[in-house]
Amino acid sequence: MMISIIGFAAVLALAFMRMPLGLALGIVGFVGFAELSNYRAAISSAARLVIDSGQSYGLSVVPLFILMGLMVERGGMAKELYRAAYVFLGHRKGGLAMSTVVACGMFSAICGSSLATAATMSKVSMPEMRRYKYDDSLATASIAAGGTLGILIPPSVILVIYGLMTETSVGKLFIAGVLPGLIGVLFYLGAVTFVVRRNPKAGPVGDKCTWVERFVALRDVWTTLGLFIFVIGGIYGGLFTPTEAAGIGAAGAMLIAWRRGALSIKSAMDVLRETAVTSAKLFMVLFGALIFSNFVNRAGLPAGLMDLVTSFEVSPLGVIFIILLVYIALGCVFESLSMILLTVPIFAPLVEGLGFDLIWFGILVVVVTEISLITPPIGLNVFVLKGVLKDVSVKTIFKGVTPFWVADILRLALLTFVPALSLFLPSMM
Amino acid sequence: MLSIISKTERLAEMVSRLVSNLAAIILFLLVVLTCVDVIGRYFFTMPVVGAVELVRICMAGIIFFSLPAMFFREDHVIVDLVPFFRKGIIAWLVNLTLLAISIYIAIKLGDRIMAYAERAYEDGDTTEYLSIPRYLVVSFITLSIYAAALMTFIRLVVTASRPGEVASAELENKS
Repeated sequence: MMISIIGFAAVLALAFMRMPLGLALGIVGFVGFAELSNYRAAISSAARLVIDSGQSYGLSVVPLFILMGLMVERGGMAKELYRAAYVFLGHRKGGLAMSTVVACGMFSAICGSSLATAATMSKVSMPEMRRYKYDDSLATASIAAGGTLGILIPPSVILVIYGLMTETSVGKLFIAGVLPGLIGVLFYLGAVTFVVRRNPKAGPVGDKCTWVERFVALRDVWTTLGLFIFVIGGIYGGLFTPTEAAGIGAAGAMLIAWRRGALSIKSAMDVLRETAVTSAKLFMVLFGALIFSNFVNRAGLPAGLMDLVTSFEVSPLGVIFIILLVYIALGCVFESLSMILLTVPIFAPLVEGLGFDLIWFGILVVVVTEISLITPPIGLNVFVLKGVLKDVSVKTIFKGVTPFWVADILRLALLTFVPALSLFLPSMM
Repeated sequence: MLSIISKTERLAEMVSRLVSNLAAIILFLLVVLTCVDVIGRYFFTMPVVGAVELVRICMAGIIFFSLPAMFFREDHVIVDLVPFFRKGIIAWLVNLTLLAISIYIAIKLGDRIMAYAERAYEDGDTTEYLSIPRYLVVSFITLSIYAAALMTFIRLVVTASRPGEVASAELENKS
């Protein structure tokens, strides 16, 4: 156990010195493994991991879903999604912020990245909210918080990585994310309502739309939403493996973008290149995380943690709460992927050993990660917005995000106490 | 001397662009492959034979063609929390050390993977359906890792020639 703690500290030290995270994890994992066995065993195990993971069929969903998300982003579909939400919600108090949240939810359904969701929606919804004189803090917070839904509502790259690390079904994880994602949308709508009740000037009403306008707006988004239903429905109904669904999703997104005139051969090559490099970056960290995971398992960390928990006589649910608190604390300083890759190899065996479902735990981990995206001081989504909206201060965004953060904590508590919300849909597969 | 370094850097940049394009094309082929496989299976009861093997090979192509470019550009996932390590002479020295460590690890790992490639060749190991020799893919992975080591070496030389500059931090600042 002690050697694992030293290893963890060494990873943190190297990472803070700006060593690439994958290398830091890999080096410490390798040295630790060699210390516990020998050099030859350590290098052989690392080489085998690189060969096998680098050609993993299951992991091929990663580049394909990244490609789908980037195509959707470049295809300019966010505008129609926002319009579709606006025609139904815009006339309410805080209606434009509500429309932003719903549009973020819809955009998340075809894009697996929170940062991309927040960046894209900020360009679409912020000008509208400014036009109606929305309070900057509410406007920006609704985008930052809504954007976090990107990693929970399937497809989600983070869930794929979690699935690989814990050997749980990616298809089931995707389906498990649907209800918690919808609950997230509802809770965020509640947060907007709370803000405009306290301060009606923060979110004035927009124009009321006729039913004809509503049908027209829905007609404009049917291809995009149809793609989501086809991809996720295909996984749920057992028609495709997640890899096949991702391939079809990427092809569908490419076709939609091309039909809209948003895709030339040059821009398609740009997106394909960006996807390949992003995937390689993720894989680099993944290789390191898997080598590190081998080391902590060999060092007996999961068993050691289990003994520790038993000696303190903490209830299993108490352990989950401690783990979630650790995640919230880590979320203050780490970005989402790093946090998951560092901690899942340590916590997942413990959680499984306590008799909990790893799919349920995966959803909790992703929800906590979502929280980290809007938690100071790092809150990446907040900084993405700051990057796009130079004239709004980080302080204003963090202030506006507070009710959404509280809504997230409430959702986390609900999902922790009612596992069925995450497990009901996957149990029907 | 500086002009040689600068020319080498430009050449490495061109190679990086070339391998990134190859990775992009393989990614596109992967999309086509999965679609043809699904359409073939459901509409013509004729799935692509060995589709899983081809997907695995495509994956290796996408990841390992991108790797040298990624190492050259130092385009990694980095926990960038301590400004102390972003600029200045100490940051520069730390960066040089990290680059040297990266080269050493890449070479050691490459050596071991090459041993696996040799073994696959000697055993005549092939894939199940398409009988593709496995040593080809494993050799390609080895080459990619050695290429990544070479690219990192070029980055090390370029960084060493510019005392006080940390290329990866500057790239992030620009983006």
